[in-house]
Order: sequence, then structure tokens, then C-alpha cells
Amino acid sequence: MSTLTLIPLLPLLGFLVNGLLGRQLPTTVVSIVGCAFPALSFVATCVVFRQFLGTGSPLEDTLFTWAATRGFVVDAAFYFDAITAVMCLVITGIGTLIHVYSIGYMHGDAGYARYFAYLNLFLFFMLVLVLGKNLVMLFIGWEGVGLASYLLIGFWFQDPAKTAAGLKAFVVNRVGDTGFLLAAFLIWAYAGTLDFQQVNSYFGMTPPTAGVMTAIGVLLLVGACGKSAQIPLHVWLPDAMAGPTPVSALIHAATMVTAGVYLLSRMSGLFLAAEHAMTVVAWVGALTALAGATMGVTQYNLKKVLAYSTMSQIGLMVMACGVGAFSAGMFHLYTHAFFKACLFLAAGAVLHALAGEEDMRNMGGLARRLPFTFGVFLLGTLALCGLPPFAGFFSKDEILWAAYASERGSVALWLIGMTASFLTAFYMFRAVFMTFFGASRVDPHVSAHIHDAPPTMASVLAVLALGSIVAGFVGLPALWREAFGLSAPFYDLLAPVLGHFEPRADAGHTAEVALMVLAVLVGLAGIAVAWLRYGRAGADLRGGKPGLLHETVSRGYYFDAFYDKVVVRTMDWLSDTVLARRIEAPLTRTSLERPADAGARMNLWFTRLQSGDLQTYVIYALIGLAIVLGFGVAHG
Amino acid sequence: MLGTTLWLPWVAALVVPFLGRGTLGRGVTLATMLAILWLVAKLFLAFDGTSGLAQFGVHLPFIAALGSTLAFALDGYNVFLALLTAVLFPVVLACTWRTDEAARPLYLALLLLLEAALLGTFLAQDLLVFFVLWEAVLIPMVLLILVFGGAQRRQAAISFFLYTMAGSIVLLAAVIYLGAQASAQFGHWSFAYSSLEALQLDGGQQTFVFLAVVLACAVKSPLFPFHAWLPLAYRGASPSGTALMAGVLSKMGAYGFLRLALPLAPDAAAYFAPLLIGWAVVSIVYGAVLALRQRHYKLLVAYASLSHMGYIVLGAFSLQPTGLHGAMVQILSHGVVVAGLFLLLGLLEQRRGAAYLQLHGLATRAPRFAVVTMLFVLASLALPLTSGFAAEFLVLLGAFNAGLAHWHAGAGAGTLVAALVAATGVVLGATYMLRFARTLVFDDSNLPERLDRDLTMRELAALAPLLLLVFWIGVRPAAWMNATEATVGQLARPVIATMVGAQHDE
Amino acid sequence: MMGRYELLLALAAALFAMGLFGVMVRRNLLVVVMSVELMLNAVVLSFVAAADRTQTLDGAAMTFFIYVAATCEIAVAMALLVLLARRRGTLDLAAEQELKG
Repeated sequence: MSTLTLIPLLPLLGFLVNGLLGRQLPTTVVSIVGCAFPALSFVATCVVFRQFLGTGSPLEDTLFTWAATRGFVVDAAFYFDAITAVMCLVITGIGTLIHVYSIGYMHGDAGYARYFAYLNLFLFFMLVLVLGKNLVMLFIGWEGVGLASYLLIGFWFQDPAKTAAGLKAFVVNRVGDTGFLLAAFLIWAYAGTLDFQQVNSYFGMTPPTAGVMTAIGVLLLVGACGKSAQIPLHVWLPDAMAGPTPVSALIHAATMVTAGVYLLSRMSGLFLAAEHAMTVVAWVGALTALAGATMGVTQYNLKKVLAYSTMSQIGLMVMACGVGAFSAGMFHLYTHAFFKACLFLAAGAVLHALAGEEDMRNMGGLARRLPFTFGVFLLGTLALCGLPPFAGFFSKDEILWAAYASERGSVALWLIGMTASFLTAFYMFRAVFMTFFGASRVDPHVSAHIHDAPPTMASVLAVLALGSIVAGFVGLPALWREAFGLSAPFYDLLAPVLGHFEPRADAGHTAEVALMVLAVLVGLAGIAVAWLRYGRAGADLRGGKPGLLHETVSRGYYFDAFYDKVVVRTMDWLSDTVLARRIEAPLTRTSLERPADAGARMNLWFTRLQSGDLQTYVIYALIGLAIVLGFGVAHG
Repeated sequence: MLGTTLWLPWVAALVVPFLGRGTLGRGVTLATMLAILWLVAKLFLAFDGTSGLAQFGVHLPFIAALGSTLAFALDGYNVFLALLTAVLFPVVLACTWRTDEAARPLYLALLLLLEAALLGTFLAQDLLVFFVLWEAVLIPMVLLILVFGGAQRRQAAISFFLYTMAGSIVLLAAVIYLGAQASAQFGHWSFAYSSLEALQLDGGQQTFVFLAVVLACAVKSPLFPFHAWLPLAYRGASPSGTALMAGVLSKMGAYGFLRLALPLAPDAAAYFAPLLIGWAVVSIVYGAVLALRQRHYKLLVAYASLSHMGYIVLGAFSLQPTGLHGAMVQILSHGVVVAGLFLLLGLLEQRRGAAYLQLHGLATRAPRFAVVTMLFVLASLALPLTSGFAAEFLVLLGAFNAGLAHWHAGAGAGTLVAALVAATGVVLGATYMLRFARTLVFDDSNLPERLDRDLTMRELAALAPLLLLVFWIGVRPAAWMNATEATVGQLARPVIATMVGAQHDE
Repeated sequence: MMGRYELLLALAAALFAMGLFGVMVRRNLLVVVMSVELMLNAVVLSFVAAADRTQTLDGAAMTFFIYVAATCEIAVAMALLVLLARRRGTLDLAAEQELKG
């Protein structure tokens, strides 16, 4: 077994140890096991990454044949190239940090061992997802992370609302997964293989009709929408915040939800040959970015603000893929993992300090009480708002530039991206002001126990905050590279797989500078508006009577209501009323009760013949005799 | 060795009633079942799936005048079914080890008879012998329901018996017809599969044979709308009986489709395939939608089972290598998973009596129980790395491919639409199984009583083989697909039209 | 123009018909049994007539079998009748409908 296989296998071992023996082991051992295996996995990733950098060619490891029959062969095989390298480093690196953070966060929870077992299980599946060499392997990880997400969202299963959220996440994901499966079937039907390299080259060289390409692309997008919470399958993500906060950070911000972007990038060869599908991808991403940002504005729950922000940011990544700038999408995925994990974990520290309070209306003035947490939250926020020189600036700017300057881009896409950026800056600083500034609105009982994060949590926050500052420097924009004679190792790494992004001929340097400045100004404007509305002394935080627009947005554009009231109700009605009562019951009647009744009636009929009167029987005998004789005479 | 597996349960069934109500009878029964399992496992490992031949055959004279012999052998059709039967019986007995019913020699003898008849049905290589044993299976099963069932057991037993008997009558006609055809074409009566497969039947004759087999199997599997006996029988039987009915007896129908309908009437099967695909999909969706709102645990699993049986038929009539493999794997997978679920419900019933239907919150009260239940639930909703995924993936792939082929051949988009609709079963399956898990495993609200005890080590050991199979098949389906590769190759029909870049046309 | 054989057969048929009629319409069990005997005798007569015509002994031999059977039958039947009459106090057929479905 090579080191490559060890990467996913180590967290699996951690899961087995904690899952099977966890309840018997002391807490310290559980923590060590829970964190050591992901850490070892990170080490293994680094080793493999060095190997990869050394040779420059992708690594492979085939374990066994998963399924084989004539014309259909799928290997259980792992594959490590540049995209995988980025994903693996993010997953194991940030994953390990969040495991460490969880030691402090989950301290004293009754399900401590179970928690670490689930988290390791998640890492295992996530790594299978990104390391898989073909669509089946990816799908194994894809559904596996869905399972881990389901288990962790419903981790505190004593609360029915939380198990309902878990169920919803799984089922909505399953809708996406069905799209994914159908895409895989179509791909196999045409390419005769499910191996990524072969699929990409097949569709790149000899694409079938445009209709088929669009179908494949859109079905893959449906899969990505489910996992990455894109419109219209985004409804599970806000509810998923029911899980423990580190889970929200790891699964629902940094890694799992970005799997859709990974999928799009992984299939870039196919997508580049599917023009119409690319347009759909770009617009779904753009609309999600905008819708997520607007919904973030109306939330009072700190975690849900972050959840909508995640949705919006992934929308930007998907949009980047849609305009053909896959490496920009991947870059934003990478920086986003740092600052969004940082934000979630800082929010977790706030929740931890306030005994689980999530409503920002019951916070306020925490900057003085939790200075360290405030510091890292602010750094994360600045990165998310895309202000230089924080990590988010470089990646978001690249996406906006691509949305404008790409062959597939347009001013409309760019405008939507800018609007989303403005709203992002606004709602993030709204959250900062409501949470950390102003007078304290914290419940006095809770207020007495406020304490800043313990060392395990604080150290992780510090690392992630640092990442939010410096992570962006590996991917400087082309403009800066030329101006300062620097290189962008991130883009160079991905170039062999995803290519370099080439702007349109008419999009020159002047435009790029102008757009960059504009983006920064828009971000600052968002902050300023937030300050005017929420930061000033005496600002009214409750707001007036919500109007129709506010109502629509805060209810998530009624997507949830639609699914609940229309889709789910219809299915339940079908089940209860139509099938159970209109079909099943009559069916039982006609196929069981009716024949039985007919039998009973016949029985009655024949009974009457059996009169018990001897002389009647003699007559029957005579009739019989007559028939026999008559028959004999007739045929004799 | 094959012969031993066949006579051993009959002999044991005759001996066990004289051993009294002590543990001796149970011990002998379990030992017999384990011996059979060991023998079948050895045969399974020695079985060569690439040859496509019937292996380890035994022959005894039966009715010479009709050319019928007691011929039994292991082949690609029955290899999974023999294994499934051999695995499930000891598991079922071990799970009911301490119940009152297991103390009664009648129960043990009936289990052994049932196992004997089932093994015979699956291993038979002679259609007449097959039919006799196919009907013989009913006797111990009906008695199991009638004597050891729950409420409404009389109604359940009678409707199960009469309904399935009615379905089999046409099959008998087809059996006799085929024998007579053999007499007409070869000059002597014969019921051996090998000679019946060599018969030259025209379209009308094949249609008759095909429809007769399909009707019998549609009742047995069952398929909508011939499932009316199913809710009644699954609810009325004792949990161990339900586990066997859903686990193995339903597979007789699936086996009939694969063993009789496809090879004996190949042209009719190809002709009717789109119809059967549509029918299977209706069954899949019907069962799944009904399961959505079931509060009765046993009924929920029963309707889920109806839905999952549809996948077998769907895969079989895709006539694609992938779909056929999927059907074969699903036979094994569904048998193991549904038996596991019913046995778990049975273990709950042992603890709480009929009140187990109101039971919930296993995660708090019985963590081991909760974990094992979740594993079976996940296998049932076809999560990757479990057997359910391998099966459903292959079935849907085969169905989709068949649909695409029909479409490209200009035969309309019906099959393709059916395959797409079948894919929604994946979403529905997740919904009802997770609703089930949410209530039974997680719902922690107002727990009225405590559960007496968590899964004991004996029960865990009894269920372990099922879990082992679930994950073994799920992680490495290729190892299993090898066993049926040649048979699937014989059944698969070439895709009608050439597709763009179709490498799999051969 | 009827010969002896035809006359005898006609007589046998008439006797049989009378017996059958009696079995069918009479309500008294004793009379029914008597009618049965009448039918038996009609059959015997037809056997004898046939034996006479074919000049063989088969028909005559049959007569003895029938008389033996009839004797046994009447013995059992009478015993049953006596028992029934004792139990029900009547020999009316209407009382004997226990096998009614």
C-alpha cells in the first residue's frame, strides 16, 4: 500500500477506533486518537505532495477492481494531481485544526467519542471524494460525506428539529446525487469509461451532440447544486447549522460544500466542450451568490449569516467555473476555507462563551469581553469582504475579473458579483457591529460566565486568522505579477490541469485596475452603510415593521415554503390519500376480499342443493343418468 | 457435497421432533443449519463462475416415464440464492434462540423443512422437480404463519397460501406444456432445463410460457398489483417468518424471472422487456411512495421491500450485463438487508411484545441496537460501500442504458423515461428509510418505558454475518460479480442499435 | 308383434319404474325400502329374461348374487329402520335431513 492510500485510510482507522471502542476509552485517549489520525493524514498528504512536486506527474494507486463485467470496468483507485493536492491539503490541514479546536469545544459532551468518530469518518469520505480516480469513487465519497453530514447535523438527536435538519440535508443531497448518477450513466453510455482523465479527453476530443453535452453538464450541475447548496437545492444549508459549530466550519463551510466546485473543476475538460451547460453553471452560480448575500442581510442568527455567506461565496466559485476560470474558483475555494473556518470557529467561541446563544439581538458589546475572539473574527471578516491585502481580496478579485473579462463572461455577471460583494461587506459588518459593538444585550445570567476561548480553541483560531491574512499571496493577480516580477505558485500548480485563464483581447490592464479599485471601494461602501445602519450609537437593531421585500428575502424567497407545502405535502398526500386509500385499499378489496366473498356466495349456493332430502338426491341421480344415457345415445 | 446439503435438512426435520423441548433440539437444528452453511460456502468458493456450466451435479431417478430426474446442481443462477438461504436460516434461528417458539419441536422442524424445500427449489435442474418443491415451500411457510404468527395470522396464512397457489396454477400449465413440447420435438418427455432451453418455440408458444412464468413470479416477488397478500402476510407472520418470507421466499419470484422467463422464452422476454421494465418501475415507485407515510414499522419495511424487489425485475429485463449483474447482486443484498431489518424488529418484539410498534429512541436506550439498525437502514437506502449501492447502481445503469438503446433504435423514449423515474426511487428510498430511523432510532421525546436490554452478544453474533455480507458486497462487488459473469453473459442481449462511440456493443 | 323376451323386459321396466316412482314420492321410509326391493326384483327379472334368451347361465348366476346382496341389505336396512323409528318415533323422510348443507 502506498502513502497515497494511507491518506484516506488513516482517518478511517481513527473512526473505527473511536467508533468501536470510544465509549470505553478515557476522554484524553479519544482526543488523541481523534486528532492524531487526521494529523498523520496531513503528514501523508505532504509527503505525497512533495513526491508529486518532485516528479510533476500525477500519482496513482489502484487497490482492486470495484466492479467488472463486459464493457464496464471500474477500479477502486486513487489519483493525485494538482487539484487533488489543493483539496487534500485544505481538507487534512484545516480538518486537523478543527479536530483540535473540537477538543475544547466539545469538552464534556456526552457523545464526545461519537463526535470524533463521525468527524474522522467525514474526513475519510471527503478524502475518497477528492482522491477518487473515477466517478464511482468520487460518488462513494460524495454520498459518504452526505452521511457524515447527516449524522453530525443530527448529532444532538435529542432535539427533533436537529434530526429533521439532518434528514432534510440528506434527502435534498440525494436529489442532487440522482442528477449526478444520471450524468455518470450518460457519460458511460458515450465514453464507455468513468475514469476522469479518459472522460475529459474523450469529451474534449470527440464531443457528441450539443444536446447530450448540455444534458451531461446540467445533470452534473444538479449534483453540484445539491452538495454545494446552490439554487434551487440550497435549502438544507441554513438548517444544517443545527450541528455543532466546528462541524459547520469543517463540513458546511470549508470542505464538503465546496465539493461541487471540485466536481466542476475535475470535469473541466467535459464542461469546456459543453457551451450551454457552462452558461447555466455561470448563471446558477451568480444567482446563488446574489440570493445568498441578500438572505444573509436579513438574518439575526449569527451562524445562519455565515451559512448564507458560504452559500453566496460558493456561488461565486461556481460562477468562476461557469465562465471558464476554474483555477480562480479553486483559488477562492482555498482561501475561503481559511477565512470561513476562522469565522465559524470564532462564532463558535462566541456561542461557547454565551452558553449556546446564537441570536445576534441578544449579543452586543462583546469586543471588550472577548477581545481575542473579536480580533480573529474581524480578520476573517475583512478577508471575506475582499479587502486588500487579506486572502479573500486576491481570490474574489480574480473571479470578478474573470466574470467580466472571460470569453464567456459579461457585464451582467460582473455586476451581480459586485452587488454580492457589496452585500457581503454590509451583512458581515452588520454582524460584527451587532455582535461585538454597542451596548451589551446579553442575558445577565449568561453574562457573568463569559470567558474567552480556551488554549486549544484559541491556538487554532490564531492559525486560521494568520491563514486569512497570508493565504492569498500564493495567487497574485496577473497584473501584480507583471508589475512586481513575482510568480503565482498556486496558478502555476493548477495550470497543467485547468490551464491558465486568458482574458478577452479587449479587456486590457486599464480595465483590470479600474475594476479592482472599484471592487475595493464597493467593499468599503458596504462597511460604511453597515456602520450607518448598525454601528452608530443608538442605531435601531430591531428594525421597523418588515416590508414585503424583507419578508420574502428573510424567508429565503419561499423556497422552503414551496418544498414543504408543495413537494413534501404532495408526496405525503399521494402516499396517504391516493395510494393508501384510493388504490391500496380497493386493491385489497378486489384481489382478496372480493374473491373470498365470491367463494362464500358459491358456498351458499351449493349448500342449497344439498337439501338432505333423500328423494331430491334420487332425482339428481336420475338427471345424471339421463345426461349420461342421452350423451351415449347421441354419440352412439 | 451438494447432495448432502439437500438431504441433510430433510433428515434433521424428521429427527428433531423426537428430541423434545430442550436445548438439544435447537442445538441439533442449528448444527444442521451451520453444517449446510459450511457446505454451501465451500461449494460457493469452489464454484467457477466463468464457465457458465452447472456444477457439482447430482442425479437420482424421479419419474422415468416423464423423463424427469432429481437433478440438482450449482450454477450461475442459483449460486447466490443457495448462499442466501444457507446464511439466513441459522441467523434466524439464532435470533429467535430464546423465544417460546424456538422451544417447540414443530417450529424447528418447519424451519428445517422450509430450508430443505428452498434449497431444492433453487438447486433443481429439472423443471418438474422445481415446480414440486416451489409448491412444497408453501406448506412449512403457511404452517409457520398459522401456528407462530401474530394477530390475524389465520387470514394472513390463508390469503398468502391461496394467492400464491393461484399464481402458480398457470405456471403448472406452462411446465406441462414445455414437457409435452419436449416430447413432440425430441421424441421423449423431458423437464431438464438444459433440454428445455434447446426447444424451438415459436412466438406464440414463447409468449404463453413467458406470461405464465411472469404471472407466477409477479405474485411471488411480488410486483404491483399482485402484492395484496404481502402487507397482510408480512404483518401477520412472526418476525422470523417475515424475515424468511421477505428474505428468501420473495427471491423465488426473482429467481423465476431469471431462471425461467429469460432462458426458456428468450424472444418473448426481449419482446416484453420494455413492458416489464415499466411494470417494475411502477412497482418501485408505488412501494416507495406508500412507505413514505407508514407508521407501522413492519408495514414500512414491507412496502420498502416491494419497492426493492422492483429493482431486481428492472435489472433483469434491462437485458444488459450491468443490469443483470445488478439484479443478481440485489437478490443477495436485499435478502440480507430486509431479513436484518425484520429480525431487528423481531428482537424488539421479543423485548416489548406488541408494544414495540410504539418504541422509539433506541439511540438513547440501546446504543448497540441503534448502530446495527442504522447500518441496515443505510444499506437499505443504498449508501455507497454497502451492498445496496452496488446493486442499485448496476441496476439503474443497466436500465438507463437499455432505455438509451431503445431510444436510439427509434423504439420510443418509454424505457428511458421509466429508467429516469426509477432513479427517483433513490430519493424516496432515502426519505422513508431515514424517516423510519428518525422515529425508531433518534426520536428521544417522552420515553415512557425503559428497554429491557441492549443487543446481547449472541444477537450481535447472529446478525454479524449479515453485516459482513452487506459490506463485503458493497466494498468489492467485483468479487461477487465474477460468480455470475458467464450466466449474465448468456442472458444479456446485444444492445439493439449502435450508439455513438459504443464500446460496449459487443 | 312382441315376443316373450320383449314382454318380460317390458314387465321388468314397468316394475322398475313403479319402484323408482315409489322411492321418489313416498314419504314413509318403510315403503321406500319396499320400493327399492321392487326395483331389485325388476333387475332380476331382466337378468332372467336375458339368460333365457341367450341360453347361458350368466344371467341366472347373477340372480343369486343379487338375492344374496338384497338379503344382506334388507337385514341391515331393517335394523337401521328400527333404530331410526325408535329414536325419532316416526318413519317420515322429512325427519331424516341431518345431512342438509
